[in-house]
Amino acid sequence: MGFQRLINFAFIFVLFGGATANTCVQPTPSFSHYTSNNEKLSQSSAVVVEFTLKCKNKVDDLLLFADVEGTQIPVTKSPEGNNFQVSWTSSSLVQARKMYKVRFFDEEGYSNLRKAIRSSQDINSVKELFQVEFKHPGLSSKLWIRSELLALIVATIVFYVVCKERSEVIA
Amino acid sequence: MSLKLITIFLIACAGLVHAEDGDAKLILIKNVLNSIITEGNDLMVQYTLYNIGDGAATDVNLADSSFHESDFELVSGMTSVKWERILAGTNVSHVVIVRPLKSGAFNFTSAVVQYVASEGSDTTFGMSNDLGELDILSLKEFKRIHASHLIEWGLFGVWCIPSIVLPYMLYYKSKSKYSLKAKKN
Amino acid sequence: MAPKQANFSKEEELLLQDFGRNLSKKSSVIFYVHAIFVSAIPLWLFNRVHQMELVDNAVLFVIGTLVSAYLISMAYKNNKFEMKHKIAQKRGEGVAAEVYSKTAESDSSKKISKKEKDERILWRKNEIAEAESMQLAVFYSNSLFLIVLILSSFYFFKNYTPMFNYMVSMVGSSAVTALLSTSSKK
Repeated sequence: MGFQRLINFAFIFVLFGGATANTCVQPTPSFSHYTSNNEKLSQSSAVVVEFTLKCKNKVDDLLLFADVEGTQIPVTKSPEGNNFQVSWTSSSLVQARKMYKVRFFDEEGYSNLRKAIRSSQDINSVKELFQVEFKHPGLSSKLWIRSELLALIVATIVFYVVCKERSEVIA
Repeated sequence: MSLKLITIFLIACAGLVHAEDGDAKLILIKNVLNSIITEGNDLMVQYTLYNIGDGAATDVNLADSSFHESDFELVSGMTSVKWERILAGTNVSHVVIVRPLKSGAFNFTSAVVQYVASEGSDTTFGMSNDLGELDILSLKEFKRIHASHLIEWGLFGVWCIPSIVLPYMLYYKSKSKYSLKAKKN
Repeated sequence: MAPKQANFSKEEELLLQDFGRNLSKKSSVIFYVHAIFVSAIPLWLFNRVHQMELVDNAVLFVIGTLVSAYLISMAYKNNKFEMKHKIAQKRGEGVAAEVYSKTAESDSSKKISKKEKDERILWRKNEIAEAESMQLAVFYSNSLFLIVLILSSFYFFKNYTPMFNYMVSMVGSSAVTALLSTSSKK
């Protein structure tokens, strides 16, 4: 009976305990970001966040998950494992300027997050490992009227004036 | 008695997690988000991995070596990345932003994915779809179609002044002068 | 009034000038300068908006400019002729008033015959009508040319190759301008 208990305990530990072996203590990310903002090139938008992480302890094979506005995305790593990237797309353009806040979770944090979602709790209550914030400048400003349309309008006005003068004379 | 039930339950759970019924099978889709590809402007490439198998894929490596440094400049994102695990029935996506350095037609070839389909098996290789030849517009052509030419039209208006406004002013001056004189009389 | 024999040829001359299509040298020069200028302006547009290099397309541009200038000057001539007489009629009163006031101001001791006054009026009328009809012709033809050019180059033929676009737009617009000038509205 006691032996069985030990086995169970070991099992539970392996299931859940093993996952928390790697966590970053005092993470300091240094990141760069990209947001697409040219409406002439595409009707979809993309956001890419690349970063490296400095931890107080030595971690290998750190597994991270990101949460962006309620969506969870797994974070990819470079083959050597030092560079991370998280990216996502949307099928419509992000026209307005906005601030993106991306929260990063390690495995434990991520499972807490999933638990919170399942029990319909506020996901902001789950503590993240670290977060990054950056600004999306919005679409490049543009004049809504095409320049040749404007030229045509001006030309039409001029032509109208000259026709009036001319008809005055001819009449 | 309750402890026995807990034990059986735990073993069953473990069994579900660890003993995969099937293998993972990953499909890699590579697509371009741009509607127009231009030299000197960003090109957004999206890779999506779908696991249509029954098991989780582990040690997933995606690599796309078709964007040579001579033809493309890497703006953002990594062309070689890895995921630890992709669960069955889920999908992940990855975006790379490049900038074409030359215009003309370019053959967008496949990206490669390698993963471990099930515990202990060898690495499985997969290739993405081949996008084929896509045309990269030259900057000149792009500017011609899409740039707002407000300044050019403005200057055009300025050049037109001696041709149009000047004759009109002279005509109008003369006309009003003699119409006035007639009225005065 | 029956003109005297001495003044007949002069009046005839004036009338001929009034109704003749021939341009004086001065008018011709003004017309050609305007025509070349207005044909050259679109080059700027084609260079900047359609991205056509000046050096590469030099031959095309020169031909286009010259052909277009020729057709436009034809339009000028026709339009001017059409309007000159009408303008002369309209300005008659005003010119008469001017001449009368001028002669009244000048030496009142020197009596100027009515005949001479009429002659002066006629001559002045001709001068004014010539100038005004020229200006209006240039204004009208240029506006017409440019609006047709804008429509054809940036709307109808927008997606054709720039070279084709240039040739067709320039020649087409100037031809339309010339054509419309020949149709006389009564």
